[in-house]
Amino acid sequence: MVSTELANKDEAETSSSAQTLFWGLISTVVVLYFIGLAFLTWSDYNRATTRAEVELEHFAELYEQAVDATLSVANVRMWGLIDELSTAMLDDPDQFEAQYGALMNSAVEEIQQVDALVLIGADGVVLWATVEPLLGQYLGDRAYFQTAVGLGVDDYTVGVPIQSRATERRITPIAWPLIGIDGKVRGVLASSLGEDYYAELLAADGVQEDMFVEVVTANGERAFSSGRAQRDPDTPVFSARKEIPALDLYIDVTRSKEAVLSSFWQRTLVFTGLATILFLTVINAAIRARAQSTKLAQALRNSERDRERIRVAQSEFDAIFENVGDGIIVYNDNNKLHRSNRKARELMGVSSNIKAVEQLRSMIPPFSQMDEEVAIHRIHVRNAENESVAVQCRVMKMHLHGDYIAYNVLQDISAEERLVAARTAFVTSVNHELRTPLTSLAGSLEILHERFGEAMPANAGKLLSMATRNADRLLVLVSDILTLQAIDQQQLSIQKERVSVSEVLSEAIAANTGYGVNRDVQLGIHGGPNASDAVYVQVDTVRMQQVFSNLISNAVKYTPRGGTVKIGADLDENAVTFYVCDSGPGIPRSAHDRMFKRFADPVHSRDNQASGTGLGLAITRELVVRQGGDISFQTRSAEDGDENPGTTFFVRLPRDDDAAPTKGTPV
Amino acid sequence: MRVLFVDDEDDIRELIEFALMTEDDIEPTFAATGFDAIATMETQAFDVIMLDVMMPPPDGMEVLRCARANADLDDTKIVMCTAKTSHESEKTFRALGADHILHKPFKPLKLAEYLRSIA
Repeated sequence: MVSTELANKDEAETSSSAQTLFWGLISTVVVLYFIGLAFLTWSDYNRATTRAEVELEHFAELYEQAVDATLSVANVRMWGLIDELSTAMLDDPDQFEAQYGALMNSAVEEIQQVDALVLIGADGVVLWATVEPLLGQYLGDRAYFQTAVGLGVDDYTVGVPIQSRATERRITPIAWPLIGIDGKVRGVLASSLGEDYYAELLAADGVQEDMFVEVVTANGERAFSSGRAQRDPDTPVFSARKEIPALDLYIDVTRSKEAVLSSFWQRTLVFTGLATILFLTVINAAIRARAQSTKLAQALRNSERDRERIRVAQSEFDAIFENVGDGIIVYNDNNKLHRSNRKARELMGVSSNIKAVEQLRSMIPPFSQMDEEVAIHRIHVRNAENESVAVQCRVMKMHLHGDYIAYNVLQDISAEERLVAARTAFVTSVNHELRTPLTSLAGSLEILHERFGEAMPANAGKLLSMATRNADRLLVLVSDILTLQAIDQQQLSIQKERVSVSEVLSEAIAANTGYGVNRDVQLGIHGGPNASDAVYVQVDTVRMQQVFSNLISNAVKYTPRGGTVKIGADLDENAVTFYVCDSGPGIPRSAHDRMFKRFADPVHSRDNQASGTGLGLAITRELVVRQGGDISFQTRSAEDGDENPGTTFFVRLPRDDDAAPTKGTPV
Repeated sequence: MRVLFVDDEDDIRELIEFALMTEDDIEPTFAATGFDAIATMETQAFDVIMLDVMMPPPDGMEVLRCARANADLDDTKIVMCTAKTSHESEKTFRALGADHILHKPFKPLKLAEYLRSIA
């Protein structure tokens, strides 16, 4: 036990340290997981922003090229127009209109990059304009005019956005110098960047919805935007800028950080969520697996312990099995199991299990034919010394694991049998040896008294009576003792037969009238069924008459001369109660307990003279009980002060009315 | 009524003789051993045979067997006189052909009455 406890303690320590290790590991894994997750998120964030910036750069470059390209195209065409105008007379607006108006108008129509066309003379006065109100106005103060005037062939300038004087619209001016055939600047051809055209160009359809593309002039003012609503300057944004250096124009491409990162956040959220769910599932599984394995380990340890216990119990059982005083032989019905102990092999005079089983099987009926669970056989075996031994074999049939197994317990009953035989012989011999001379003695005294009593002197007659009475008493005593001994040794057999109650009563009267006559006491049936009534009991008639003989002789003995002993039977539904009623002195309360005891103290002092053995009622009760009945009494004792004393003995037996009368047939 | 009494005890035989002395209708014959009884049975006819069970061999049972093997004695009542209290032996006696069992000790003076009742 001590070692087991120590082992338990060790196990507990081991398991607790393993527990700590496990939880440490789990915590580390969790921390590492979250660190990893944070790192992943951070790097993903970086990648997302970098990508957004790079993307914006690309877009900016794309737009820059697009704007640059369209402007170049416009420039080429404008220079074509300028070439046409190189020889135009700029003095008379009406002549110019007549000569070049159509050309100018078709140029405005064709060159989508520009919205309007204004021809400004070298003096700064508008000579021709698609927009009527500008005619004659002075625009020489405009920055684009002054820049354009200084430009050479194939050059143009884009100015900062201004408020148009004619249309009150915000416009982005673009201007070309009008260089004459002589290479001198004759004026400026001005226009504004085509708002619809650029709006469409920058609209960036099919690109990110949230992207703003703006064309910004050198002073930072916005010339065009992608045409959507104004962007909120407070919103944090990613942006990229590309310069069109020749024109001092910048392309700004911006996206709000929120929009750019929304997909990142979504992705991160989904990824983190899924990963965490997965991770937690795995951790949970790990914890469960751990718990399971702990339980399993515990169960394994328990089963190991149980196995050990079973092993100990088994060896204890083996030791007991082998050394127990009774022989034991075990076998099954397919003859695969053979087991026996030392005593069994000794009894069988064999040395092996198989031989013991074979020998026993040859001696008793096959147990497969057993109807009952248990059967007892008496067999005689020859032991190693070749002596015949009486053996009681108790076979227990058990159904185990689909197989019938016979457990046979062999008990050496030779000593017991010898003892029983010796006892029986003793009883028989005492019976014979005592009764034979007593019969002669009593018989001869009786004849002497009958035949020659009158011829004897009075004193001799008295002595003869005394001798007769005591011889009778001795006979009864011997008979009683032998009966009791037979009862004690279970040798008293009861042979029940079915007899009518009236028959039992009349036999009782007939057989016992003698007692009454001798003492001048009347004996009579006082109640009970008529001879014709079919009331039956199961009794051994000989034993039943012995019962009546005892009860009636007692009753007669105590009834005063001239009195009556009443005999009868009361009936109820299930039982018959025979009674024998006397008008004797009754039994004092103090004697009630010992009425049915053997050799009890006599109830009345005069019993000493009466011929009592002190065994009569004990035997009577045994005989009644053996026949399945019970005996009791009611009494009024003169000694206890009752005025009308007397005793009634009751013998109650179960009724057996149903079957047809079977008198004479032993049951 | 001719009655054969078989008993190895001299006293018992004498007692019975005494008891039946006054009974004119009963003519007793006595045998002291089993051999004696068997021999007597061969030569004489009896109404009743009273057989003591416990005798030196051949005992009452042997004599009973012999008697029942003899067809001449079919009408003869055989009474086994025994001191045994066991029913087992009674069964055996009846199985062997005994008509009545008389338990010892019996009162010699009531014997005549008993014999008349069974004959």
